[in-house]
Amino acid sequence: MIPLENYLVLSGILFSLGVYGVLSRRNAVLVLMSVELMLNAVSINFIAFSAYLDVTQITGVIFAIFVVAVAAAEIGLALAIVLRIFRNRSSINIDEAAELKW
Amino acid sequence: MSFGDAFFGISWLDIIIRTLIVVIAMTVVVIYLTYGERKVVARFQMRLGPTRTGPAGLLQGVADALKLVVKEDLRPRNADRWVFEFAPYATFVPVFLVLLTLPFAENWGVRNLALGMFFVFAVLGLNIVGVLMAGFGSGNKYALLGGVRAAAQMISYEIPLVVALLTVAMLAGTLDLNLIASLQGDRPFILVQPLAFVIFFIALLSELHRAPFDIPVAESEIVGGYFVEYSGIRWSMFQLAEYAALWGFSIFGSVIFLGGWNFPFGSEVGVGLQLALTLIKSTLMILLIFWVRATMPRLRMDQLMSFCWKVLIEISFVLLLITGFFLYYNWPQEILALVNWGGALLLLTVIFIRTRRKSEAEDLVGTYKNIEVTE
Amino acid sequence: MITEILWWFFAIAIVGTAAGVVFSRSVVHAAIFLILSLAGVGGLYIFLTVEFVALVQFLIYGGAVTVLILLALMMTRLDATGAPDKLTGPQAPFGALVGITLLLTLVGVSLATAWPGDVDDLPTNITIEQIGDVMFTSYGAPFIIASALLLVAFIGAIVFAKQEDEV
Repeated sequence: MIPLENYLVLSGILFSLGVYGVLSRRNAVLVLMSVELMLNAVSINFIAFSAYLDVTQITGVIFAIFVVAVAAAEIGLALAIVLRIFRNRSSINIDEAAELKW
Repeated sequence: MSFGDAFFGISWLDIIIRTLIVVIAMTVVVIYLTYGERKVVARFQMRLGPTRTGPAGLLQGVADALKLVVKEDLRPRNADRWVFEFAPYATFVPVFLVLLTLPFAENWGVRNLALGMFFVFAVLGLNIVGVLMAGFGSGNKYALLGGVRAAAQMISYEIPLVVALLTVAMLAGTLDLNLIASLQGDRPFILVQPLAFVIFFIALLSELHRAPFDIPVAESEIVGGYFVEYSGIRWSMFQLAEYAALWGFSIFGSVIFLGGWNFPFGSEVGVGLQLALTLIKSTLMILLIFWVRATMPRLRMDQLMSFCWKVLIEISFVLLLITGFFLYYNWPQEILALVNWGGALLLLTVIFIRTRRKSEAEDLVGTYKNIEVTE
Repeated sequence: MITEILWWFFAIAIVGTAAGVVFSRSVVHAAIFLILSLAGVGGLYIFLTVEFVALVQFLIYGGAVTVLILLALMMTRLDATGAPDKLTGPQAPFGALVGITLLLTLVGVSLATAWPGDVDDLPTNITIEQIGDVMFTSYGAPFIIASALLLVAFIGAIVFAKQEDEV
């Protein structure tokens, strides 16, 4: 019905959009959102490969579940760091937060 | 029609007809729930409630709906337009999705999912985004504050809700709602896991923003909470979502804990009696929710959050561990039931004691002694 | 036939809302586009017959991650009187260059490889019992390590976000 390449191309497009977002957005929370897009693109890839090529030992599906758990943990911690930076500097522009100490 | 055969044999028409039946049932039930709540709460407060519109006030809900429909649709200038307009629908759609997966009688419902209980958890989470959108999109600081507090409350209480329901899923061995109801032929799960029911009930009150956890939506709190800027039909969508959630989760709770369509008579009786049983059990749960609303005072926000994180989450995790041990070592279920009843009574006693702590201050009201606040 | 139309609808919705995340000029709109995109990806998992992972996606991304992002955005906004910051920095063209190069590479490799097996067939049904079986037998150790990781992240987030004024 739906060939495997459709899923791979879709995840490729999503991943490149995520890369553009990480490289060009200045708000720290928007960078984190682009990282979420990249992680989801990778998960689509894993699950598509596992469903089409490896149905007995569904490694890709397990991997995708762990990616979801790790992404949730990472975004929780990263947003706590962003809140701290905001409290110190009143701005979350990552281009300005470039030095360790001023 | 059971899940197996479709109306007229056409599958897409079948879905449309079933969904329409659920929509019509939901609208009628919601209108009469608003009326019913006012009557029940009024009787608890020794007054009568609505009596004038129609015979014994039965058309009050219809009158309210008509009034809301003809109101002017305001939109504040500072409001973020798309977020403001989509928020009521984002709050309503998850509730409706829950209604679509509930079994109203054996094999009767819109669709039966093999992962029914987990589906309900997943769409509960989507409700929170709607509340935040409503709070932010109003362009009003107080609405934003109300929305953030409501979201924090819903997120916190989702954890004990999910863990308490997971203990029942462990006992039943399945997440399929129809199968869980059919496993309770001789013994409903409330007799085996009453502590899970108590935790589920308290967390449900908080998820639905009902008293005593209704700080975000109470009229005497921050100007009416996160839907202060909504008027007319948009506000009625929020109310529709709230009462439809009340009805849907009462059916959900009665399917899981009270035995749904199955408990006293089993599945040989006809569909009519099973539907009546579901109706009676869900009405019992709804009356229990109204009773708690009429009786208990409102909790403060910090009391609410500390109750969740310091009491409910610990007890629900301990319950999960205990249920796990019982199921792994195959100990008899009667001992599990005893432990559970003990735990439920303990929790209710602790709540009762904590709500009576200020009584010595009340005794001094009206005298001329100094009242020390001993908090 | 209907499956394919629905699939293309989901695919276009995912790409469109992801473009909305990356190109939008308001942070809250970007967050709403993100939840729509992740919900679309969840819908796509249902086509791949892993309903459990789809529901996990809705529960965690929709119920928790999006709420966290929206709360963080609301707490870090400057006052509405200030002019909104430009959200895209000056290095955007180089980012676009990298993105387009990556896109061409990935799409080229995906279309040019001859994938083994019956890749034009419907994927066979993957059940939740199978997922549970594989996860708790072959991947039990990563499961426990992931739970330890979540505990550490939880405690770390509390420590970081705590307010330290000793009033």
